[in-house]
Amino acid sequence: MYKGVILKLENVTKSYGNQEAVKNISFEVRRGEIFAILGPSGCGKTTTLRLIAGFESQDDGEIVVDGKVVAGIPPEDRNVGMVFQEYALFPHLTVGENVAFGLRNISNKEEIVQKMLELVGLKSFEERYPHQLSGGQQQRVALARALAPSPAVVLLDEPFSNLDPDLRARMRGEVLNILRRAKTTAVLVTHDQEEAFSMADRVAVMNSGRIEQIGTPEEVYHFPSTRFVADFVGQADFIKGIVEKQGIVTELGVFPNNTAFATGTRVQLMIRPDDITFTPDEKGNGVVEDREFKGSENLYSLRLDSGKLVHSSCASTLLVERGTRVRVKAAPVHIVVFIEDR
Amino acid sequence: MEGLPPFPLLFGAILILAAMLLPLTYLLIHTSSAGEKALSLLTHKRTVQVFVNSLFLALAVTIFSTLIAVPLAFLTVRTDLPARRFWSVVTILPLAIPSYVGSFALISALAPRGSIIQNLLSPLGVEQLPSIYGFPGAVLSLTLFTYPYILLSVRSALYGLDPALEEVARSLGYAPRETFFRVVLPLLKPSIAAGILLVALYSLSDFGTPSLMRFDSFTRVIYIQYQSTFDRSMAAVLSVLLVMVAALLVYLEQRIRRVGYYSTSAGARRKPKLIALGKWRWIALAFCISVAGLALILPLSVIVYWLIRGVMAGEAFNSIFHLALNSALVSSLAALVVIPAALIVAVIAVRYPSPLSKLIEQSTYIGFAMPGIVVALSLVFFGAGTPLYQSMAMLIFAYMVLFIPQAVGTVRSSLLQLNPRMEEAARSLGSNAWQTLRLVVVPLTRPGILTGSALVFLSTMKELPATLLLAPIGFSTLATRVWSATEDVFFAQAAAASVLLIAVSTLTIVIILSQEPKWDGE
Repeated sequence: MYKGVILKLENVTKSYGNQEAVKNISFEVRRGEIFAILGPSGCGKTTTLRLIAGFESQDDGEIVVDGKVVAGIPPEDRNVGMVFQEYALFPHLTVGENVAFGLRNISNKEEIVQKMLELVGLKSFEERYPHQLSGGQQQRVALARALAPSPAVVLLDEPFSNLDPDLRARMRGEVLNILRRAKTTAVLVTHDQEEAFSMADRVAVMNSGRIEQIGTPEEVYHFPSTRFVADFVGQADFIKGIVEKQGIVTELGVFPNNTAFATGTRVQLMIRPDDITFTPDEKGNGVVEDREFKGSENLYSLRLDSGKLVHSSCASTLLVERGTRVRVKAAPVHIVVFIEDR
Repeated sequence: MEGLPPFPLLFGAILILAAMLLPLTYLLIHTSSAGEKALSLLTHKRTVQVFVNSLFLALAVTIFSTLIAVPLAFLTVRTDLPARRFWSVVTILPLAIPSYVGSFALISALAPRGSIIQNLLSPLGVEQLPSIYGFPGAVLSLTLFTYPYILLSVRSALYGLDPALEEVARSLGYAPRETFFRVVLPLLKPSIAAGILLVALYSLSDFGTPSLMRFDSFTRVIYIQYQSTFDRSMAAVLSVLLVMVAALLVYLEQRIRRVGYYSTSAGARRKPKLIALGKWRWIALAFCISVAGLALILPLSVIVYWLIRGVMAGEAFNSIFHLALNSALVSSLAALVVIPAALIVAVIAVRYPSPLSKLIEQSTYIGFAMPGIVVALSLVFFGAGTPLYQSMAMLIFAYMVLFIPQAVGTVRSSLLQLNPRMEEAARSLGSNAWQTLRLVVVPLTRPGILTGSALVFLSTMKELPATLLLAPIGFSTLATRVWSATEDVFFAQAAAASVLLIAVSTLTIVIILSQEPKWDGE
């Protein structure tokens, strides 16, 4: 383990009965890093978090927190903080008492509570009870409570899923800000790729118990290593292609081949909606099938003559009627190719 | 929903309010007519003594019941206690044993002379056991047969507890035991208080146990006064005191409940990990066995003993099944009357909040605070000389006043879980208020209605003083038979009636338990 790694999972496996929830996963989180585990529900991401916290114990593999192998160590002795999806604030304690809960053996308790409440901007709420707070305020209390004992790592389980969409975006920024200012290491579990991208330094994408890719948000978005990742982290279309000498030949043109695939290999080329442009053209290669107005942009569904449906995001001011014949062009910034299944 | 409740609902609610206020009116008339005398009776040495006796009885029973029920609740819900599901049913079953049957059994087993235990020990030279009569016997009996009220209430709170709260405490450095005392126990406080209220009110107003144990608490003295003199002043003064104490308890419990925290989580109920007891499991098991032994096996054995002796002696029990039918009849009638009334009160209280609906709801607590004997006396007062006197209708009316709060409680909590949008949807689809009640509210509050009916049925089966005073001439139930047979020392007859009473009550409790919340997959 090299310097700066504060959390390490090595070949961790966990089953419930004969159902494998987490299959042989490994990753490292560095001090001060914000690390997201991204995946659909039931992929094992929450189980991973609960294994780190010590609420569940792994069947196999090793978890190291701050240089200490934590197998057999109960949650209270792991120095790991947790923020639950429903916040789990103690309803019988005030905000101040909630934040002070993990500080019982500390002499300057009151001082830390004040510092934490200030950090989360709830100084005047110390005497309130949790049910007197809004969702966003409850979440900040939960965060302050978890951060107060300065744990080695803070774990956040779907922290924004209980909030209204507009509040969610604001809280993301606030929580990120708090985590950065507290200089804490955080592992965040989410099913929302926007959340993972906007908050995390690095993202691990999980699918049915396995980690499919670990990388920065940009790497994961632009260079997904599996089709699942490509699909999960954003809208993606896959068009058929074949590797030839001059490049990858598809119905939308020829693209440079940066892969090691042999000539003649059948492949799928990933295209994001922002890679596709189109112009009205009577002699074009497709038809506008639908337009979804998203405020800042228009998402067009284009039916190619081959029957394939692709998507294009355009400025919200560009309006093209449904049924208009268009010429579709693809100009991918990054060429991402997968071998065709079957 | 906005606005006034539909007229039939409002009218029904006001009738219920009037019914609830009737016994209170009686007490006011009586004490005020006694005037000066009431005041001197209030400070009478005897009154003070009875008052103190009753308070200590209620206090002791409450403490011991809590000490039994809270550990049992935790063991049967959250630990790997051997045969956990079995114990979770068995430890509730003492609720099926009316306290006068239990007291009779305890006396029969443990009385100083001539009891079963003393007979068994006499070859060893034990001539006399320490006396069970008086305070110790009353406390023992009431504790053993009322602790299930606390157990039921705490258990359902434990099932509703969000496991994440305990996990947070763990991640903040608290060991399991500390987590229990710092998080779980404080959160259980409202449910413990609710259970304690029931147990304390039961102890204050129970008639059978103090009478059999010859302990001078309120109810016994009131009954003796009623039977021995025509001057009801003393009985009325004692009743007023009793009702005031009970009302204070109800008020205190409401305060604790209203300290004002709500369950914060509405998420999916994860089943928390069962706590491994390790070597403690044998101690836990021994605890369960001793409680069940004292509260269930002992009374049942005594009853069966007397029954077998009776059968051997060739006693006839031919009228018993007729009595069982009578008991079932009045209990069903009581449930049939109470449930619609409770539904009216709950709907008005939950859906049409106003000062009036609050008054109506709180008036039903009078049934909690008012012992059966006082309600019965008030009906005797108002009804004497009218054709209603000692009619079935009057008896059922007394049951309604006494047991409506239990049903209001369960129906209201079901109703609170019902999203009002559901009713609004029905209204927007063209149902009127009445149809909505019938087609949406009643079917969806079924669990509360079912539990409420079972509770009313059970309480009526076991009820003694009101039945003794108000039943039509010649009409007996299992409860009154147990009572009169015990008084006349026909123990085999008492045992036979008890067996049937306990059997029917047990069935009812199984229904109540089937509506208890459980973890997924259990």
